[in-house]
Amino acid sequence: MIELKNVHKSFGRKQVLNGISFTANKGEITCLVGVNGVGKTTILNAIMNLTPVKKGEITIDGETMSPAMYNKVAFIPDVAIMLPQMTVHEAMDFMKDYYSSWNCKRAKEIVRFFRLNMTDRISDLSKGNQAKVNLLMGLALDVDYVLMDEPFSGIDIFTREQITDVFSSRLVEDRGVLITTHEIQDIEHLLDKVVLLDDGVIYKEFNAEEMRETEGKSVVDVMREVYNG
Amino acid sequence: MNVSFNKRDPIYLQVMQYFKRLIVSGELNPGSEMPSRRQLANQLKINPNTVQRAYSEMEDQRLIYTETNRPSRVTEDPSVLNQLKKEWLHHAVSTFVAAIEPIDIPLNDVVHLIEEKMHTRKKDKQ
Amino acid sequence: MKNSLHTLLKLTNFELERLSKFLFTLMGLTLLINLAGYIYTPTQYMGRINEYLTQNSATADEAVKAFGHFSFYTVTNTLWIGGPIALGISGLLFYSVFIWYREWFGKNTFAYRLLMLPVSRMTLYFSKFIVIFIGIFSLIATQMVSLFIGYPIVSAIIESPYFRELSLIESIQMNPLFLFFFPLDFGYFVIVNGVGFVVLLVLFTVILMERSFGVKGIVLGIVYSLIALAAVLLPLFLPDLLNNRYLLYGSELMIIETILLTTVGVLSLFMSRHLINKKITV
Repeated sequence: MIELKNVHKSFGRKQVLNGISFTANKGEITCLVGVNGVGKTTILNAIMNLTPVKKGEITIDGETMSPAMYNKVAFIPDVAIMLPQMTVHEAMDFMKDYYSSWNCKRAKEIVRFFRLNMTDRISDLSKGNQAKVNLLMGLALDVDYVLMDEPFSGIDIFTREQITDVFSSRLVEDRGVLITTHEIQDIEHLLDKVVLLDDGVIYKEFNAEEMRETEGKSVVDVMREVYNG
Repeated sequence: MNVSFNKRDPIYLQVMQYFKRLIVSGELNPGSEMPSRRQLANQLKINPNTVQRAYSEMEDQRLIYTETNRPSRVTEDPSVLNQLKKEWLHHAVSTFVAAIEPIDIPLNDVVHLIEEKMHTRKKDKQ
Repeated sequence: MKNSLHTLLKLTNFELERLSKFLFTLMGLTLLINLAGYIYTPTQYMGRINEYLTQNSATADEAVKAFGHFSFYTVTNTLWIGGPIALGISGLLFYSVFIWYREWFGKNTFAYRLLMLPVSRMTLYFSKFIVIFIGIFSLIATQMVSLFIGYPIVSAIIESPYFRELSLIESIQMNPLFLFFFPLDFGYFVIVNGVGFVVLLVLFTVILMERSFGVKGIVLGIVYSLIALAAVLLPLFLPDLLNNRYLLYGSELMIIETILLTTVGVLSLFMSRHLINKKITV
């Protein structure tokens, strides 16, 4: 379980996280939804110890983040994070060199799944294919948790469908997945838990299926209530 | 296999409804294998935990059964199947009755209409 | 322990590969510009001698009186040698900053990957540090090799009456520039490299401050480096400041400076470790 307790963070005078608390469980897909603002990405960065927080506590299965934990939690940001001059193959070798949790078999499976060409240079790839390379780097690690930042933003519809397929596939099996997005319509059916966020505060945290069952509301219905009401 | 889901009803109930339909219509024979949970989640593009929930509900209702380490199968128990058909019919008739309630019409005319409709549908199918 | 050493070697090798193009360019430029100097400077000298001889129908002795002897030292004292050394120093200084910032700038943010490697982040730091020193020593070695190549070239161009027979080693020893960069005098070599070591540690700390606190970090970094500089320089100017030339013995000064440099170095290391582990932002 990834747990955030009362996390505060500011950039200069601007308060971006104002006492954030929520959990993301293993074996579930949790979605951080926010209409705007930088909060979502900051939360993922903070979980991965890629930016300091002012106050509060972040734990993963009870432990605080450490270098060894990068073999247990993978993060897929929405910017390309391998060197542009690397080929897909070289990028995979790099990962294999440093991560004991790198799974070669699974990596090859993902390359086939996304129909990537291993000899292509990353800088020559389309934006969609670069996003797939990013996913490959994260999903081929045998980790317990995968964090993805805006996996659907700025990507063509076919790539988006392929990425959506990832969530219900074996590639995500039994892991805890935490994704951020501002466009939820296409993935409503894939989520377990939804965390609604705005202006650095959590408005609501709920299980999507439970919400449908007890109140007959879709995720978008709840968002409409929360953000417009 | 393509299902479009309603966003406001629990997905697991919609998945169950989908399978019940396949079973009563005979498209899914008694004893035939169910898709694996992962496979189904991937095909319907829905959350694997939701499929899991639908399957365990169906197991509870004895619509499907699972032997350890084997794929789940559709029940072969005639009483369960009969019960399911009865339920299905009951549900359909209630919906139908509720729908025609506003119109004042003799039962005989309705029966006649139903017969006619069923006849044309059968013809269309052939 | 064995494992972390292994990752340090892997990362250092990786960084070295990324440095190689830049380093080979600097090494090539050094050799090329030196070579031009080895040929141009003595040829120009001989040109002037010959002109003098024909115009004044003078003897070789008279020409030497007018222009002086030519030795290998004459060449090493020109910009043809000093220039590439300055270029190398500024190039590597630039690279010491670039080696960090390139992970953040451009379309690909490689900093994400590096900071998320399952290795201690100081491994990352040391790999970058080591690579800068590999660059420094590669350039020094290139310069040495170049002088070995240059000596016979110069002595071949200069005709014997005008050539002052100064051995290669003597020519090198005469030039104070080489005293600083070459391991001619062990003491000097250690001092120069020690100072360079600490300067790089401070520079890395300043960079990490900026990467952690932004503009505030730059101010903090400048203040820190000024304090460090003042602390290290103070004992050297103390006799002047107090108007007492006999305050400290040379050896005492050496010990004090060593302690101060070590303190600044260790302090920088600890600060860098804290920043890269706890404060840095991608």
